[in-house]
Parts: sequence; structure tokens; C-alpha cells
Amino acid sequence: MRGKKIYAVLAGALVLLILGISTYNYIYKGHRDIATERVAHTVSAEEIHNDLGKEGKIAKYVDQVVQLHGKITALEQNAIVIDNKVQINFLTDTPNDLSIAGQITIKGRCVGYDDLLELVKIDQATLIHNN
Amino acid sequence: MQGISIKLSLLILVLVHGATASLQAQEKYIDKNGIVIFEASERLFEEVKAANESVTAILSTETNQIASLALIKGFHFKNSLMEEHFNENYIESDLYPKAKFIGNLVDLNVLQLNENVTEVPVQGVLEVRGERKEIYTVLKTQKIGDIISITGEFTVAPSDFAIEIPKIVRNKIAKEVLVKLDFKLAKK
Repeated sequence: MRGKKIYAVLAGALVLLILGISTYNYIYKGHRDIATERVAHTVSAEEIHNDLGKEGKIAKYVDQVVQLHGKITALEQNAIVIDNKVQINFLTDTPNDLSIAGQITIKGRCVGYDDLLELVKIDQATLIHNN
Repeated sequence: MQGISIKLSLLILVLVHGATASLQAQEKYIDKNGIVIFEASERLFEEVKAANESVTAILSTETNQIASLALIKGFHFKNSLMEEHFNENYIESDLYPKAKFIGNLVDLNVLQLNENVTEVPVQGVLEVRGERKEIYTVLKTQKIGDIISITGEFTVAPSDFAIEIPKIVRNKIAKEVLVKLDFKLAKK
């Protein structure tokens, strides 16, 4: 009789513990890791700019992981621009071996289309290829 | 006949000259990586705070007009679930992907800007979720080298943009949201 009671208490405690851990994990789950997520679309800078700016295909790209290639047209402290059409912000510091007019391939998250500058914005980017 | 053609070419010269002069006056300063932080934390509860570090700001020194655009998906919270709820339930960023501000820097004289901080009032309209709210605040401006720095803050309320806060979290989110901005604009 006493043994049964202890089992019941233990089982109850276990259920509460599991509930607690899963609630905690739900509330404090980690951020997405764009660098290791699978690429949803591989496109040129020109193509994504056209799709977002002119065609307004927001649902296709926004918040998706994209792989992009193009020529570096602006190099700034926190960002680069490729083909005058896409602004890239890297996850960590901008790699320092990049140069204007160089070809580049990056992977990052599409944030959306900025119609003030007419630029597609990408953040949390990582360098895939540079030459 | 020749007189007319001389007058005509003079006229063209004047027009072309005028056009280039006005182009030169149309100076723009741009920041592609402006910082906007908003905070609606309540004491004793988890902080409700997000930062966007790739906000666009454009200042036309000819008209003193300033335009700024922040993509909603560019705001990052410490807590990823909060970020998800912010996007899906509060701002509905799929429907309203950007926040936009257009305003005027009142009596700004760019030529007089220097390394000393000058306070400049700004008056404009902030548009979020298709709702427009008049904003008036005083910004701190300063010019270091070729960079114009603009910093400042203002407050808005979720209700200004028809954002309904569910009862269950109402005491965890402040009624007033403090918005801070930090732009470093470079001449274009």
C-alpha cells in the first residue's frame, strides 16, 4: 500500500518535471541558425530584386534562407551591396578580404524589399564563395 | 536668323546650367544601417525590447526632408518566441512588412552643423500597419567629417497602430513604447 503511494508521487513528479522542461524549451527556444539551415532558393541578385521589387513575390522569399551571387558594388563597414540590387549584412563582421567588383556567393535570410533605396535586404549572411 | 540661334543657344546654356546647379544643391545623405530600438518593458517582467540594425534613412539637405524605412522582419528580440509573436500576432509583418517615417527637420541648416551637438526639432508621420501617427520630437544632430549623426527618441502606444494586446500579457507590456534611433548618414 505504501509502495503504491510512493510510485504515484514519483510518477506525478516526473510528469510535472517533463511538463516544466517542455514549457521552458517552448518559451526560451533558440533562434534560427541561418548558416546551417537548408537553402530555399538559389538566385542571382538581379532575379531576387526583380521578383521582390517588381513582381512583389514577398511570400516566396521573405524570412527564407536564400543563396545569392553577384558582383560587389559597394563595400561598407557593416554591409556590402551586390549588383546595386541587394544589401547583405553578415552574421559576424564583414569578411575583410572582399573587394569592389569581386564576384561573391553568400547565404542569408531575406528580410524584405526596401523601396526607399530600391534594395533587397539580406541579414545573418555567411560567405559561401569569394574570388 | 543668326541672332535667334544665338539667343536659343544662350537659353539652352542657361537652362542646362540651371539644371546642373539644382542637381548639385540636391544633396542627399544616406544611412543603410541605421539603428532603431524599441522597448516596452514593464518592471519585474521579462524585457520587451527589439533592435533593427539595418534601417534605411535618407536626408535631403535641400528640402530638409528625412525619410526612414525599417523592415519589420529586421527587428530582433532576445527571446525568439517573443519575436515570433511580435511578427505574427502584433504587427502581422506578412501583411505589413515595413514601418515608414517621413518628416521634416525644422530649420536645419546643414552648413552650420559641426562637431557640437545641435538640437533640431523633427515633425513627421510614422506609418505602421497602415496606421499613421504624427510624431514630434527633438533630435540631436552633429556633423563629424562627412557624416551627419542623428540620434533621438520618441514614444508611441500600441493603440496608435491598432495593435491589440491580449489580456493575458497586458501587464507585461508597457502602455508606452519608447523608440530610439541612431543614424549615421553619409553623403551620396
